[in-house]
Amino acid sequence: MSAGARIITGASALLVFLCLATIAAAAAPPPEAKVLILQPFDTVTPGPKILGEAITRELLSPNSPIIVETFAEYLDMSRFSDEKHTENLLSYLTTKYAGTRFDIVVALSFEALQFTARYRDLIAPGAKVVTGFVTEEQFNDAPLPANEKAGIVSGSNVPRTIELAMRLQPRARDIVIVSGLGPFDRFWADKAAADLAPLAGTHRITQLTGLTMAQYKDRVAQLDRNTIVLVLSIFEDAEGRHFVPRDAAAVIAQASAAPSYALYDTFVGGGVVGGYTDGFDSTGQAIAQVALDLLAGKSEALGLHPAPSQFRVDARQLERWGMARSDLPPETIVLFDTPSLWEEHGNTILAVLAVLVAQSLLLAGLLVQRRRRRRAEDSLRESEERMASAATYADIGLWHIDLKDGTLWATEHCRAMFGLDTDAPLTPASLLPAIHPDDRANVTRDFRAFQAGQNFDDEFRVLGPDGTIRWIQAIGDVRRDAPDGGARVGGVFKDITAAKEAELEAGERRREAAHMSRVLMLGELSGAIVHELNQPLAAILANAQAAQIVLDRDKPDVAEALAALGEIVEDDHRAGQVIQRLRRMLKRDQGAWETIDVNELARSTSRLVRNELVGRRIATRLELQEAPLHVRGDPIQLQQVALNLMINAMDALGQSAIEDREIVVSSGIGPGGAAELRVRDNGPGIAPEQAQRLFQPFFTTKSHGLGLGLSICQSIVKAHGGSLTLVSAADRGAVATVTLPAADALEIAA
Amino acid sequence: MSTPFTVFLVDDDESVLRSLGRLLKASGYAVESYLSPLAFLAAHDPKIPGCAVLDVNMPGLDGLQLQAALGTGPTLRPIVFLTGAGDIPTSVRAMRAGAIDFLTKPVDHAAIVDAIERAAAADQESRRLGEERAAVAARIASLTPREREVLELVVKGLLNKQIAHELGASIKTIKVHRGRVMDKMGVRAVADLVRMTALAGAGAVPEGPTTKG
Repeated sequence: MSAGARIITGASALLVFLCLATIAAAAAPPPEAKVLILQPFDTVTPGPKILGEAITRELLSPNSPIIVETFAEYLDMSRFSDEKHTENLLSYLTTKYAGTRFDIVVALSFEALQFTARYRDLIAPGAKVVTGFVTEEQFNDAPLPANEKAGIVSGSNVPRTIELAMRLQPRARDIVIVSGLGPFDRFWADKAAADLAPLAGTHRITQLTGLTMAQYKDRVAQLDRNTIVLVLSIFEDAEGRHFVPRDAAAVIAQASAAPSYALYDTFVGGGVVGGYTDGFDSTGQAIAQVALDLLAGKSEALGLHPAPSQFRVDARQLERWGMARSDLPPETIVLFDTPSLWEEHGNTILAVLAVLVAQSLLLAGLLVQRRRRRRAEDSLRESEERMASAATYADIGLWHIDLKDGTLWATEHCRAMFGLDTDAPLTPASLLPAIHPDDRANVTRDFRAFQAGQNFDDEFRVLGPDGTIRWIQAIGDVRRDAPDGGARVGGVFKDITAAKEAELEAGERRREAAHMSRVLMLGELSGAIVHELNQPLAAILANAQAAQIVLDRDKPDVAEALAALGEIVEDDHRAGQVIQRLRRMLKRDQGAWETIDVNELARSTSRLVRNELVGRRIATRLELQEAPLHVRGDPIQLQQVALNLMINAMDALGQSAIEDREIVVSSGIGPGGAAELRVRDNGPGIAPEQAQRLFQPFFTTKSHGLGLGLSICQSIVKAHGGSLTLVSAADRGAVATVTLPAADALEIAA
Repeated sequence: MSTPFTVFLVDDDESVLRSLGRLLKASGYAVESYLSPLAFLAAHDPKIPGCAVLDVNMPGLDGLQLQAALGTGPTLRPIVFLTGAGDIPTSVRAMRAGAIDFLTKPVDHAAIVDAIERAAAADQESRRLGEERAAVAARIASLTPREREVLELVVKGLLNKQIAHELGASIKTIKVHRGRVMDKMGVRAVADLVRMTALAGAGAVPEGPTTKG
């Protein structure tokens, strides 16, 4: 016997209970209570099942102030309603719970309430009864003392559900009530009919009952679209098949051609539009709370309490039937709402937006930064240009000379250029010693001419005290507009060392490459060169031995010997020339420029390759203009060009038939009086795809060679102020043309 | 040998041609010099005893081509080649084609004279054979058709009896023919007869019918 149970049995002991409860809560374990939950149906009927679960959960909650033990029994009264079943149940329960005293019996639905009210004293004597899922009438009619029963009235409210339907289907005039043949089914069908009686004037109300499931489906499928279908419960159909009402309702709702409604929230989601329903779970919680309150002795818990019912609709069904949400009663709970994109992916969208915004900001930032940087760069460049020009100008020394007294004025920078001390006098005479000895004569000569009124433009070297050499360009103008009427001459000194050095270096590089190329070419011609040396040597040997023979006779033939010796001398010269040509070609540093006859160049070059030509069975023809064709240049380098072109021509003929192998070397005056040297072969010519690349270094069509020849030839010819072209000839073969500026008469004389 | 042994010198290099000519003349040879191979070919008389000294590397017709051109004539002209830079394949080709020697310039006096002497010997031998061949041919030409038939069979080694049977004549008649053949050919033994006809070469003795129909 627990302390709590004893106190509750004493109806007038509320104060005592409160005190004891408080003390007990503080000092000892809470009073124990036992609750029996009687389910009306089987274990699977969803509504009562949810109710039972909610009740049990609440009663057993760790937060509960009272320690409760629960028991559950399933009366299965939708299928077994006869006396025998009742007897069996009673025998089972009394036997089972003989030693158990319940404080509360929770009887769900009318069936369980009725059973409990009748047999409470056998099963749970003295226990209070808490019920749920019953109508007000059922509660009131239950034969129990008012201070021993409490409960939650069923929210399953037909009028309010029909109210919802009529809001959504204002033009509907037909109401069809679908119900099954189970006792519960029939009870609620009758109740619904009674509830809807007031509508008989305006609506046609039809009961659809006593059919098989297939028939139900057929019938609802043929309904007019604008009919209100109220699906109650179908525990059992005409064939005696038993159903879970929720699932039966779903089948019917889905088959129905008109929108259907239901009284239970478990049905919402299966295909019905909605209804005014209990939340089974919340109803279960409410029932549990009433039970706890009764256990705690709260008398206000006695009696009937409203169910936490609400309008519940299925958003998908609203959409299916094209119903407007605006027609729903206020505070309707819309279930199964397909979340909008925003609702479903709100976070993702936000994240994407945030990224986009961040990116945009970043881009904008970068653009701004770029513009700023550009502006900064522009102004930097401007200022750099200003600096550069300023620097350029700063490296220019300004000077002028008063021709009357010969005094020199010059900026201080001139002193630095000429390597003079700051206190050294600045006169034309003082500048001269700074000039490189080799350039001094030229400068002096030009300076005299300048004083005589000629403009002055000289480049010369200045020898610094430490032996460094700087190149200075001096430009002078004669101005006759001096205020005093006298002539004043002036100009600038400019340090051109860097440019000169670059020029010299480029020249040096070119000479280096040209030299390499010559060495390679001579290597190619080595066989011919050996032959060319052999000829005079052979002649010399023969002549010498002939002389020995004729002198060794009894009567020496002196005349013959002398003739032989004369030829020996000649051939020796000839061999010497070959060697000299070779040495010149192999030499690295270059001789001075000379006046050169292009015709002679052609002749000497073809002599150089004569043996090679013979060996390769190539015929040569010289078609030179009669008059000498003078140009200025480095004889070796120009010979190299001619030689290279001839070797190329020879190589081009390698695959030709012997009778077709011919090279024609010609000379003449080209456009603008320029001298032209042409080397033409009748080989295969130049393929168009090669034409663009001929002069590129390392491009070659030959199986041997580095591909440097033409590129070096071109740089040599360019350095001579000329041009080199190589094109396919009109009929066949290729023609290379070297164009060089003609030497003027003065140069030829020099 | 009414005409003296002559060295035909062909080189496109004038000074080489002149100096070698001088050297060979000083050495006692008759020399004829040509600056181009074509000029030499145009003037060539195979009857003149002598040899050719040819530069290998010449424009127009090189030494080997010239050798081939000479080789097609009735008399083989012995050839000594001179080259500026002799390469082995060229020299092998030249020697295979029957050259006496292949000398590299500058060529020493002794070397060239030695080569020319060998060429002279070869020339002399070929000329002697030529003359002998001509003499045999003349003797063969003097034979009657019947005597040629007998000669042919004698050279083949047939006995008189066989020859008589072959030619359908009596042994006596064959003996007479045979005696005349020996007389006209100027020999006393059959062995000499065989040697002479071999020298005359194939065809010197016209093929007679070997069987009677």
